[in-house]
Amino acid sequence: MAWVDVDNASVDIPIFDSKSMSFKARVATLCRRLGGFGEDGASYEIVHALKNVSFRLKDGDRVGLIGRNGCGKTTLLRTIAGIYEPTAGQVRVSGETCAILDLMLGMDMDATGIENIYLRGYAVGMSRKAIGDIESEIADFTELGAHLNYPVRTYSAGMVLRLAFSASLMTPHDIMLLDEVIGVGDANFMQKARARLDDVLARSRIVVVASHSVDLLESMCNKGIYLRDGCLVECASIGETVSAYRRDIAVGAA
Amino acid sequence: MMPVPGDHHRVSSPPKQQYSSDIHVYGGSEATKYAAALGDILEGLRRYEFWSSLAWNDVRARYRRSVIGEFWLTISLGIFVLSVGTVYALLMNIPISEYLPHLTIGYTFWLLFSSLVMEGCQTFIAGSSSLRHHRTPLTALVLRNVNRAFIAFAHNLFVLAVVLATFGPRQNWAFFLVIPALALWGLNGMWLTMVVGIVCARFRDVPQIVVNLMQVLFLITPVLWSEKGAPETLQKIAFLNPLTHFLAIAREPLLGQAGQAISWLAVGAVTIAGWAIAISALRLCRSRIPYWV
Repeated sequence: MAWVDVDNASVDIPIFDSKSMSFKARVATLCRRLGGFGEDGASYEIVHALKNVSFRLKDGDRVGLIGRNGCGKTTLLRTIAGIYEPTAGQVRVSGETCAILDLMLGMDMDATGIENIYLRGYAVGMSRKAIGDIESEIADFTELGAHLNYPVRTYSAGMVLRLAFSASLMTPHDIMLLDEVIGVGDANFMQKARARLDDVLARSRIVVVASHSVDLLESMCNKGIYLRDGCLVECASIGETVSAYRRDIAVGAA
Repeated sequence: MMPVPGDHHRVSSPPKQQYSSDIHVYGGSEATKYAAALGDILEGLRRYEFWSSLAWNDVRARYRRSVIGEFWLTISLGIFVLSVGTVYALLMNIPISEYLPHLTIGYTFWLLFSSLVMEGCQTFIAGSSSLRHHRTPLTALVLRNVNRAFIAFAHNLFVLAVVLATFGPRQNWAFFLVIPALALWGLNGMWLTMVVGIVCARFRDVPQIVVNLMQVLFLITPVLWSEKGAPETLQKIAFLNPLTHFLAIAREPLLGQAGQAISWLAVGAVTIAGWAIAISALRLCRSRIPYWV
């Protein structure tokens, strides 16, 4: 039984511009504060990326994450994955999580395709043995053949995507978190990739997908979460969530 | 079956596959922070394959497409100690056979220290893609840095061995003290990387400050010179400089001496103090690092 329990979680992200990031600026702020010159003392800005978000997910939930750019979709995925620990509130997760936020993560352009498969596997916490077990399966899936022994910088953009997709999406996890990863490569590979994605997701317990493609989410998900400016607006069936989102767009509020 | 806290849904289907029942809690009370810091260290150690493969990849990446590869490290060290060693021995009027082993050991360990610190500053900044895409233990990135520094160090051992075989004294039992000395260097490399890595992730001016401090430190540490016969002021400064003692515990065994007890004590004290600082820093900043990089 896998579950996710997000309890009143808020995430504040500090934005250090080059000035406030420096030691000099910190010292200057400190001096101002000590001197009582009336500055408020905040030396950097804070973006409230998630505000008091609460919801629960359970086994079998296929969740579509909807909202405009910058509404906190990726931040929410990062929070569930334990990358961003909430500034306030709590996130409790039962089960192993796999977040695929960027297919190109950790790709070393000068390393070979095979080396990259291993680097990726280690990054997500797999052992050498576990990667070895699926190495040939991944290699077959990429259809890159002998190219896998060449440095990735010699690949075309489409080949890099094939490798990235294959290396990222081979094994199911209890909880899969995806950020706009659907739709890679040429038409032929895309069909194959979609089939693989469906298969991996079917074998995972909880899936959360962030996407701008409402139609895609409606076809994949049974549940929806709609975020607006870091606030949870709707967490219901995918149909209800999508209509809430569409209503907002219609009145220009989304 | 794991109950969901306050769950109203009825649990129906049995588990379909092997499933780990660990519950991960993110955010929350101060009390859990120490546990989280220690958990980070243990998880970091456990991810051996992750940090060792990254460390090797880093070393290889630097010398990719070069025929001699990472042995350029060895060659540049060899040229440095031979040229500087000869000139300084003549300048300071010391026999080359005495000066060269002293300089070679000192400089090899200085290079180790310098790469631990200078690359340590970039540990978390360079690891930002891991940190921002997966939950990655900070300790794993720290170990990647320590491992990488020791890989470079291992390449330099060749020069060290040649110099010692040619000019060094006959080795005795004291040689084996190199083993605890290296272990202490490794332990200290870990806390040092953790601390400078965290500070530099937050304050991006610090790497520049560190570069300048390193120059000063190089001069006040007996790498090129020896405490023996140095002016008294310099001797005092060297004695108060912890790095002097770190060099001593590694250098003396290779020159056939056990080294002074005070050096071993100083290194032990620094190790304990440093780890205390590193664990506190980890406790306070661990969860903030992904936000800073």
